[in-house]
Amino acid sequence: MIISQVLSRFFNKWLDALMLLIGVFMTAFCIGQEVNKANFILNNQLVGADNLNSYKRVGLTICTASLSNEFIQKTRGGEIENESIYDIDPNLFFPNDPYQYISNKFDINQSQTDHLQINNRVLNPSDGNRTFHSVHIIDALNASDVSHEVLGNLLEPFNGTLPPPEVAKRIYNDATYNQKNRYSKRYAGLDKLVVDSLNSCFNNNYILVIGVERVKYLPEAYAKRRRFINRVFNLASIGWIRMEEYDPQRVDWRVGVELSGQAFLYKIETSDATQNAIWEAYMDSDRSSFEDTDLGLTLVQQINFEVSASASDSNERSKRLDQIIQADLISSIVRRMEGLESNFQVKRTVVESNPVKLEIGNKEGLKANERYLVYEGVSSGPGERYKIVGAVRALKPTANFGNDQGQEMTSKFMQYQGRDVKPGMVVRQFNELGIELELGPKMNLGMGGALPNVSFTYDISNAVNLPGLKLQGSLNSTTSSVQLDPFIGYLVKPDYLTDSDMVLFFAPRQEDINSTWNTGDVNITMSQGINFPLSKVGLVYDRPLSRLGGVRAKLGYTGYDFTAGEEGTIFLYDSNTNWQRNYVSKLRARGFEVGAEAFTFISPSVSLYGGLDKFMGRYWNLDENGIEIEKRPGNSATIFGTFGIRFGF
Amino acid sequence: MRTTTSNHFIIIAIAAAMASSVLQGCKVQIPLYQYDAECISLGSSDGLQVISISGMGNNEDECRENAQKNAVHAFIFKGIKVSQNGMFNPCARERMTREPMSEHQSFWDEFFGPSGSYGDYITQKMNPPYKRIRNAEDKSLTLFFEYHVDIRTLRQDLEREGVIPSAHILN
Repeated sequence: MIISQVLSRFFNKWLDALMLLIGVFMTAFCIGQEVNKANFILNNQLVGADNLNSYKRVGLTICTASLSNEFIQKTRGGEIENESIYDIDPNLFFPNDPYQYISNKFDINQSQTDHLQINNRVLNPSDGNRTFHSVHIIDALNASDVSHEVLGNLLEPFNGTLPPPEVAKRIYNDATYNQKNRYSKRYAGLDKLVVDSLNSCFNNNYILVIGVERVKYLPEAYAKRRRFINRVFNLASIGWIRMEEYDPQRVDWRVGVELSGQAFLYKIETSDATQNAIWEAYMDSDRSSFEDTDLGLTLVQQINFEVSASASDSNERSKRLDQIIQADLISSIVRRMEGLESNFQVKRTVVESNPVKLEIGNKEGLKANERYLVYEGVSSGPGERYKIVGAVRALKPTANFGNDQGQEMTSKFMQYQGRDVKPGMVVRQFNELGIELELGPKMNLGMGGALPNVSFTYDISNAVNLPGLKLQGSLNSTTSSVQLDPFIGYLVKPDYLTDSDMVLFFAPRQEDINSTWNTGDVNITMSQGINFPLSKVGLVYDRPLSRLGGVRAKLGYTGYDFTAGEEGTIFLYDSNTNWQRNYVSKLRARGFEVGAEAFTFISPSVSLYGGLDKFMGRYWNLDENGIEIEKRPGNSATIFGTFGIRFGF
Repeated sequence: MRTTTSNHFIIIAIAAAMASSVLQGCKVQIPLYQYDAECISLGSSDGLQVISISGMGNNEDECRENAQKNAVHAFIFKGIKVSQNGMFNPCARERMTREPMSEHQSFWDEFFGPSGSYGDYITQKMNPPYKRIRNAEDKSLTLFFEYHVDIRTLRQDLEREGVIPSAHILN
């Protein structure tokens, strides 16, 4: 009986029922959210064992190239100046030490050839085909003999001792504590670790070529970002205020720079002949065979990129734009390559559960909140396959560079998806965009009723180095034109009322239309057709507590508008005088919100939110004296429950 | 009324028995001594050898127990033929006896039994598994462990019991 009463209170409208139905319908297809999403991506195919059992550190070499015969465009005082891209010092955008922006997981193969000279006629921007053929890059790499240079570095110093320092460093960094512990014991002959690491040293080297097609010193780069910010804030304020037109005359040409181009990832292929030549070089101190060996280059990944930097605030003005763009360029490209190239993704076996502990740390470039998918081996027919069973996030990465100090250096992870993680399962790094989209009804638990809710969350923890910090925007809206009658409760207490007075602003339910409510000293007559968009934008700080869910703090900017529909108005009556005090046709409020929310990771996601708003309202009053606009501060308290589907990307 | 209550008890008991029977039926009969054994390295002291060994079971404990039995069984009856290092195999490749288990069936039943002494020759028994494979058909589990087996003591004890020939006779 109680349940039916509650249900009838909250879901007494077809809209609510429809939303619930949509939620259930979507749930049926989306159970497991991210885990299943990954499954869907893989078309429910099991992952081959080779992808998960063969993680070795990767040697990475970065080269840059100018791919275009386009000109750099600069705008000064409204005049456009053209300058050939070849006249630009590549070090302006490509740092001398680009590796400072790269994860520690890579072993860096320094190359003297850091900028490739490529025929600037190979790409004709007028032919409409922007795809650059990688054969030209390979020609340039071969002309500079980068492959021999990279592998040759591993042989230095060339004194015939085994293993050479660079290889020893790779072996040291590659091994987990357990491996070191195992192999540091009494053991005769070459052990597996050394053999594997030696092979991987020469078989696991990549060359990343960052080719720039276009450099723009244009105000558009700045304007683009500015427009985006404007759009976000306009969405937040729901003011629907017309955006100010961007004034290019007010922008100095140096405030924006944009680089676009293509990045190519090559793997240095080694053959048996190469291996023999390398061993010969070691043992006989003779590099002639090695120098004569052909080293193939295979293009494994190719992406387009576009990065921009702007001096949009005082902090950024204090930095040089090239410094900003260097960090963005290198780190964003390498991170995207991580998502594409399986050998770049860290994989490890789970050594402990409850809590989940993995031998991954700073040495592997682990960052807090980073996501790893968990796999369990499945034997079905010939061979082994792996199936996704869960997902974990790093809590606090351990500094495991010194993991030979007699202790096992593991990082704690929190499981937030899937079934129990057990020792022996395998995890794989799975980068995410940090975007969450949540859809579903939002129910006011204080007053009842439901609103359609869309919220968008973007993880900014990497940018600010604070795990769990996200930017969130949400929109709950309805319009009279579709005859939605959401019921949202906001306790509003304008300052002009006495403490005993309460005014409730809320869109009416059907049965409340044209009825009069007595709330203490103030009577409210409800009317039909009220528009009620409510939006919020702000920062949220997530703190997962278990795999089931967590808590979230919110600090945001909120805005909502009450506007009367075509046929309706809100009447406020002062009961003392029984005389119409205000004829309110519109209320627009902007303010700040502080709240806390408990949420679940399960699907459908459920959350409970309580918050306080401090706002400034603007009332458009109509009375016998005409239209009067008043500003009145107010407070509101609300408690919401949301029920919906959360998509993570 | 009393009759009705007792009937309820009977029904519940029958239901419980059926449920128990069904649950028991869900357990897969695990074949004994079917495993993959690979040499990893020599151990930290004389007589210790480190091998990778698999153990099947319906749960983790059963897998661990079977893996320990398999580790000892491998050294006695099969030898460690395969090495993770490829060609280089420092472990004992020769089995300790060429006689089948049936020759001393009662001894082996007790040795590998629930209170058998097979576990005395394995150190670091609580090592976590480094690999976990679930059978897609019967949902049974196979875990892979790294165990340090004290084959010197094992050989001495088994020779003393007279269930394996002396090493010099075998070789």
